[in-house]
Amino acid sequence: MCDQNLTALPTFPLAFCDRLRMATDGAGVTALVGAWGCPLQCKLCINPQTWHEPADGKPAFERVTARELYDCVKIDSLYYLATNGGITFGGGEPLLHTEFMQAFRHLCPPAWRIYAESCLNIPAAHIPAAAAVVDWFFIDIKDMNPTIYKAYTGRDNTLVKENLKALLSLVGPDRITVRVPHIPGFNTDADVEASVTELREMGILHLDVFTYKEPKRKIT
Amino acid sequence: MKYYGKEKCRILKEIRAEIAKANDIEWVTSECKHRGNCKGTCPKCEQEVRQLEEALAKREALGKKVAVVGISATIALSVTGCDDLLATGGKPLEGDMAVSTEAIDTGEAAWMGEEEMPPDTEEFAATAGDPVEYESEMGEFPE
Repeated sequence: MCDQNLTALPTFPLAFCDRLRMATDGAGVTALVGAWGCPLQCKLCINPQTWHEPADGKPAFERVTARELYDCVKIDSLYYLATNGGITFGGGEPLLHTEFMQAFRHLCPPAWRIYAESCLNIPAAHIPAAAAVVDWFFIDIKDMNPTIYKAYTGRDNTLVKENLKALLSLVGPDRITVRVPHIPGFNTDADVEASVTELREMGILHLDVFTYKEPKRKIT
Repeated sequence: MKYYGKEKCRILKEIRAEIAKANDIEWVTSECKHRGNCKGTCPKCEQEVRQLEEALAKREALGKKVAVVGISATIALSVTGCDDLLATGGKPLEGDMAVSTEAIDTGEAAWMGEEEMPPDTEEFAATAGDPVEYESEMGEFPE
């Protein structure tokens, strides 16, 4: 436990930590660290329990300092170092906690890679901070069509596009993978192709086109 | 491709052996006697990691070179888009590095997820939000 004044330190609403992942959501061996709280409410979300932070004191809810998280994940440091792996921040929406991520970056060995999975539907002020600490971004773009995006997530995607442009200008195309899903019941092959075209025109080089599975439970 | 159970255990063991070899550490590991699926690591595997950390720390204390960063890059653990990051050959890494004794503290580090390691099934996949049907699935909330 950190002996500093915790109220003065940025904390992370830890929903889960999954150790020793391989070849998924980042190169090498990684730990997936998930945040509570998401600005979207995607209809096919498999983690709806992470949408809102539970009240303090609920089981499995923990706000951790960078030091506390570091103390938890450093157990696998050798694997991260040897495989060019590290920590993948997911959620929920991890980039709502860039102040925390900066503090974590300063604590962990520089050779650990920091990955982040984000929808980018976040205040623009987080983008420069994220660009400074994240080695590779996985962006869940959903669909570039605003109507489809809103139908699927409940939100507008204007901010997403602006943030993606800002991120691209800050880190370049070689640290960003944009995931473009076929979303059953929400978009078509032509819609996906249109998203891909728009993203390529923006300068995105790494695109991942795939199909969402429909979860066991649907969110209405 | 995702790795679970015995396959994950095998790869981690291979990484440990590579680290030992790269640092001239005599490394003898016994065969795991556990039958059936495992979670990819166990107290015996964890103990081996701690032993390796101690051996590296000892080597460093003797002023010898310690090489850990990127030495297992030959194990293909990349995902879409990260190949370039791996291909940097270590950027911003500087190749061989002194292993921070803090980073490999062998103390009683508590770690989350111990009780909630992913099950040995393909159902556990993970993402920041949505289920996907491809190899680099993102993280589903552990049940």
